Amino acid sequence: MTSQVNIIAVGGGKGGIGKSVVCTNLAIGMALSGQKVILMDTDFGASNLHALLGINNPVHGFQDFFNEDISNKQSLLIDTGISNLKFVSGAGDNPGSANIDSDKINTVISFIKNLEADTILLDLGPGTNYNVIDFFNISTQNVVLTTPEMTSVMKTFSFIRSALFRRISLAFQDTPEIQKMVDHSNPTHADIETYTTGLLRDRFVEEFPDHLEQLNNIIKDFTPGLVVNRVRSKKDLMTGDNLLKLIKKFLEVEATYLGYIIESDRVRDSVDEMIPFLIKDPQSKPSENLQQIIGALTNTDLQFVKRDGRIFVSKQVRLSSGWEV
Amino acid sequence: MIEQYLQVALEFVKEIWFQLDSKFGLEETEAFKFIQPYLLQLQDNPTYMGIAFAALFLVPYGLYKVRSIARERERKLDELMEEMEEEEEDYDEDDPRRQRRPEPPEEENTIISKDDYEIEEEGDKPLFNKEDEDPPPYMQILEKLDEEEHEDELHVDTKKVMGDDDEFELEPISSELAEPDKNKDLSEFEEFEFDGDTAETEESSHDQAIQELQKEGELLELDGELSADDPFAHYSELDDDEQDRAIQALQDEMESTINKLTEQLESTPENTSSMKDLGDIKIGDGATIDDEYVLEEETEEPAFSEINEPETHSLDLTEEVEPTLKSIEPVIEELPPLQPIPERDYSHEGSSSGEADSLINRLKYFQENLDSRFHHGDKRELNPLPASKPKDLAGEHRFVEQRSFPTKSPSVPVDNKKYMETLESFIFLKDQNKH
Repeated sequence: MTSQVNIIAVGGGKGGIGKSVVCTNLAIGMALSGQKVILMDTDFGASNLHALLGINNPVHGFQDFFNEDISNKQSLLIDTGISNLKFVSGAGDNPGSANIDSDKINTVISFIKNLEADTILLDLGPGTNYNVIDFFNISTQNVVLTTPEMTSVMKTFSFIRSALFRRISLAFQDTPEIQKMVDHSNPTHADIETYTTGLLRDRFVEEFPDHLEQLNNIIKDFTPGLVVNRVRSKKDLMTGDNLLKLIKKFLEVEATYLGYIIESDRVRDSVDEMIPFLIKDPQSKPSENLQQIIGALTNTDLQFVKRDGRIFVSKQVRLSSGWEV
Repeated sequence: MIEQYLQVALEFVKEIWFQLDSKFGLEETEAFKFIQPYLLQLQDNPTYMGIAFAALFLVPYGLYKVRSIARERERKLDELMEEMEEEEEDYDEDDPRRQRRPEPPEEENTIISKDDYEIEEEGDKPLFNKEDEDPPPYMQILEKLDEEEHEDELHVDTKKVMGDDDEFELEPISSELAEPDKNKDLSEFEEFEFDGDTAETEESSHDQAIQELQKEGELLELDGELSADDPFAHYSELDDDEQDRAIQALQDEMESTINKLTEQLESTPENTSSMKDLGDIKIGDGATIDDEYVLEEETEEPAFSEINEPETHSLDLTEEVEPTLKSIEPVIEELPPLQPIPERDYSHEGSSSGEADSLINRLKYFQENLDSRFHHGDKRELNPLPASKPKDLAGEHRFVEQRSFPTKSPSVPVDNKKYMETLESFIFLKDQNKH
């Protein structure tokens, strides 16, 4: 196991908002910038990353995570043809694969944590079930994706709240009373009056003052990065700000605005052509947006230029730290 | 890049201004003081600046364009005038065409198509043939007929025309014009042409005839759709009696055509029903509408199922409907059979588009028949349905029920504060305390 590995999970409550496309291109951008990257499809039951990468009939897939015969799990890594980028496919998932039990999820998580790479990017499935949230919570950097539509913003808020409450739940596994407050998976045995961190903190102050500091630390440490995808106007950009305000107001979470990606037919075309848009046209506007996001994630300034079919990368490391854009 | 260009342009303008100002002291003038605030406003607001620049270039350009278009039109008019003059010089001195359009306006000339002009020329030529030239064939016929004095034979035999295409093409005007008594103007011209002594005595009538011809010429020019072999092409050259006769002749012709068509229709074998003739139309899987029709006629049961196959697709009927359909089959058997389509004549539908239209009409009829049969079975009614007409949804209570829906919805507000409030209202329940 490498403790240095940086795990970036790309999630978002709503389906079809571009998680897989953005995650793939993030992985490619980081790989092209020199990092050893592993891209992993954890959207079990509906995996499609291999299609985005144009990999037909992947040699390994979903079942191989649980195959005892494969002793060296590194062999599950599939070559993508892109420098420094390997891929772990979730292909071959069958109906019901999204509902694998927590033991199986832990097996996959263990597999992820034992991979040797600089960065592992996880493409999550939609929804807020624990199989998705648990993958999200193992990451060292979280990217939450949303689109400007109100439905998407709502689901992203729910996703972030679920992730936070799941973190709190896992941190206080030994305290059933706290579990009741943060795990609402069983409504009949749940305290459903604690649906914001403010309300939760009030209860902690009254009932678990000793755990208050720990609670505050969990909230403080949870700093997801927000990306608004398919932006068409300045008004769309404001939805990102509004979501940040909403998160701050009800969850007291300091999320970071990593950037946005404009709506473009080039992205759609790249999906159809199974060529990631960062490779197809690194100087297009969506690609520039993505480079800024990668820059925010890796604290570098990246610039990709394509000449005569070759991609050249200019990379400058920022002296500041954090995700300031 | 654009900013750089703008910067360079601004510096260039500034330099010019500086030079002018230093030479003429423009800043001290009243005019400049008057426009200075506006200029400052322009400088501050890029939109205003853009509009000002656009106006600066577009207005002169627009004026130039308008002027150039006007000039171009004038030039074309001159050219046309010259052409007209040259054309008229080619005509004889006594050619009325020289007088017909002494100075025609531009628009009139442009309206006349080439074909019309040719028709007009063809119509005029025989009137002014010189003696030394050979008269055209129909003039020879005219002379011959004059000698024989058989007026009745000059009438167009419509049956003959209908029977022979070549003669139909010749049907024209020449025969109408050839009748001396029917066209006084024509005989007058002929007399004028062949007997120069009488010219002076009939000068007034000659001028009158020319004027009439001029008017007729104008009518012809306006009527661009008349063809050379159309009896009405020279309709205006005929007097009232002649016009009546021409109309009568046309009516006769039409009647004979209709009679002929009717005869052909009657003589058409009955088994060439409209349905059978649709056999060429493929409806998929190599089957034709003929197949469907035959199946329907011969075996009622499969025919019904086949007929209803597309219906079940379109109406999305489930298997539960099938028993119902089977139960109404006896009712359908009692229904009036599909009727052949009344209007139909392939022999006279020469063009493919006409045939296609006919086929489309027949298909529509076929579809309506199918629909009516289907609805017969559905309603269990034996009386035939009337022809399809626009359905009044409100009236058909059996199939249509009104549903309520909200006419207003809280749309996404533009204002950030309201947007947040709306967002919160969607996330939390009504009685949830958010803090």
